[in-house]
Amino acid sequence: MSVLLGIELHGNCIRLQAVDRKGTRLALLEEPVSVPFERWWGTHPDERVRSVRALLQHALQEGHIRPASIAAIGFSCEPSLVLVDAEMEPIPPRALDWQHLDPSDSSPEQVLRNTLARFPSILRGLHSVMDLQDWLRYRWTGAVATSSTFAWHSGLSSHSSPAQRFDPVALQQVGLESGQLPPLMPGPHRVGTLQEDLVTDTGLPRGTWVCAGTSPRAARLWLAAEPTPGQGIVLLEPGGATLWRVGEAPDAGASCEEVIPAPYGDHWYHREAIEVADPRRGETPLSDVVHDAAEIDPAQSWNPDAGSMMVSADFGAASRAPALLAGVGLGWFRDLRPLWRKRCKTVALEHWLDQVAASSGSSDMETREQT
Amino acid sequence: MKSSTTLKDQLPSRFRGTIQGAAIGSALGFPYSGSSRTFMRALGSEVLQGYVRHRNGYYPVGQHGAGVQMLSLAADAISHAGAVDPEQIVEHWIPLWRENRIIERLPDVDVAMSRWLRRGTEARGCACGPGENGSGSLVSSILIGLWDHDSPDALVDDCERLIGVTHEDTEVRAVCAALASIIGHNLTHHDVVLGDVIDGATAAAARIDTSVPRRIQEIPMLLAASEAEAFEKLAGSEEEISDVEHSGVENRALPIFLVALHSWLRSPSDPLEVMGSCLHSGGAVEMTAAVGGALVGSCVGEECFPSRLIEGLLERDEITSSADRLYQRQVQERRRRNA
Repeated sequence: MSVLLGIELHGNCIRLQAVDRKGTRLALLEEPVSVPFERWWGTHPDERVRSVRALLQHALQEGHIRPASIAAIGFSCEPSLVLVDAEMEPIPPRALDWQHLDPSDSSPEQVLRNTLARFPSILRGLHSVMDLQDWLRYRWTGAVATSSTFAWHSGLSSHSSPAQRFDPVALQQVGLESGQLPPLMPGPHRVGTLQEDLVTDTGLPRGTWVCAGTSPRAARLWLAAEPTPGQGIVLLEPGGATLWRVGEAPDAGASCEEVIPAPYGDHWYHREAIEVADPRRGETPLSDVVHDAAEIDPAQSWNPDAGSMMVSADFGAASRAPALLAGVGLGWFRDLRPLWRKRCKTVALEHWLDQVAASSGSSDMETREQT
Repeated sequence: MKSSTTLKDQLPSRFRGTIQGAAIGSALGFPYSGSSRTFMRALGSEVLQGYVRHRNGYYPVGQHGAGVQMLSLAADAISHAGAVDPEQIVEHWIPLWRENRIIERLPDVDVAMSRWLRRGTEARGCACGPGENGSGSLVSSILIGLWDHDSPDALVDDCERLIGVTHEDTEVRAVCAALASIIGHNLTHHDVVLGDVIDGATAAAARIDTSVPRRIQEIPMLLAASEAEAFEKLAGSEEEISDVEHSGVENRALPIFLVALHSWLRSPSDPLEVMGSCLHSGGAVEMTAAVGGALVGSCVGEECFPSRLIEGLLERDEITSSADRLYQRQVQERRRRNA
């Protein structure tokens, strides 16, 4: 058992990656979804569970991944919200009128507050509040837990130790009791092992660990560069280039948009600037930062001044972080420094371009039909 | 099909025809529910001769299935509320489970209704989750076609409200919206125009699901194919290999709807032909024939059904009264809206 499985629920698709002990990507499968994960309120959580399971089964049946080799599964998922009733079933989003949510006012924190204020009767029979990756993990393992990502994005974590524990006062304000929040785990921590039905259906080994998970952005930032204090990372996203910097825990009142916790919760990423020099548009890149991007247009031309531009190991590709975080949870990488310095080290843009040129034509990625 | 009377004059008859058509199809198929396609085809036209006693002997002749029982109660709930109110519908349905009056077990609906029973009508979200794509609520969705035939903008939302009581599965919801849109189309058109019917059903389903519209769009091409070939494509699943040619239609909303729709489009104004074709498909014949009966009934009205089938129907008066009350309340609400 030497392979880690990473599942990323982000944007318009589900990504499944198999990564070995050395961090080498063995397989990458993508499946588009009809409702993007940012619009988490538009789909029943079990619909997502079915889609992920279908992709996993496809990957295993088609031989993209050898089931017996899997040691652990890690997640990254857009911040979202699932309300679970007393019978351990999710309350359907349509039953809470979430289909009429205004996308501009749809942070999990806001939706949770509004929903509980509008339907106070659901509090009586509410078992727990979690996010989509927690629900997926519960369906697969039967273990109820949540991650520091949810604690932060739900706005229910305490000011003194943000994302580390829930704040009883904040819970009381929305009408929740501490028992209605699942135990809080750092992103890489092992939460539970796969249930028997999944083992039987997929052939995955009994005892395969499933880890807590984090958000896709936190995962990208975590793997992009070694998190030394003050390290800058420029994320090149479709909307523009944003500068993030590694820092300490935020002050009370910091917004979820501007600060995000690292998967382990040991450091934070602070958004320092929204619009910075974007080398994709020919602008001279910032110095002393690492650039990271999930997608890069193959026809993209680069400014010759970009010679000194440093890019992450997963520049222009899906992040291996969800899978590698599962390995961290297993204790495979006790000292994390070699991960950033050796296995997934940053490289100069020229070096990356050479690598892309060398590997063009050989792709291990498969895309399935939309679900 | 041309008629000398206006559509407005025909509406009461079409309302009755739709609900009676569903009840007749259900009652014809109820005794044979679950019988194989091979067996049903061997029976030939015998299945249309009249109602027969259910093989377990507990039900009287002319007994319809649980789908029509729910349809009739949902019609009363809509008439009573003057709107598609899920809470009212649940209140009308719950006694069937509380008092064990439900005619037969509908596995998918049972799950949802048991939850409603435990938690009360004010609970939120007792419907069975994605993946539960049974046909228990399919026939009830024809009510939305009747209720919203003159306000198509509200049709899909109302259908979501009604079906949301029991099902969260997008496939079921999309199928129900498509069925409701076809019923609505039939009530507002003299003739069945294939393109309009398919486009309307596709558009309604596409608001909820992406795969159902694709399956509906296959139907025009299959009208020219042999019955066996068309059946295999419509009743079969894209994902699983199943022996539909022998066992018949699976008890899932999508294949039932597709087979019934195909049967109706082959002979849109001949109730016996449509219901015969649905019954010969085997498997979930009761639900398939109920949907086929509703489609043809909404197109031709109650007059075109043989009187022996209408008269032999158990609880015929209650079913007809439900249709009449729904029609009257719909007219009342329309006048109120237009005032």
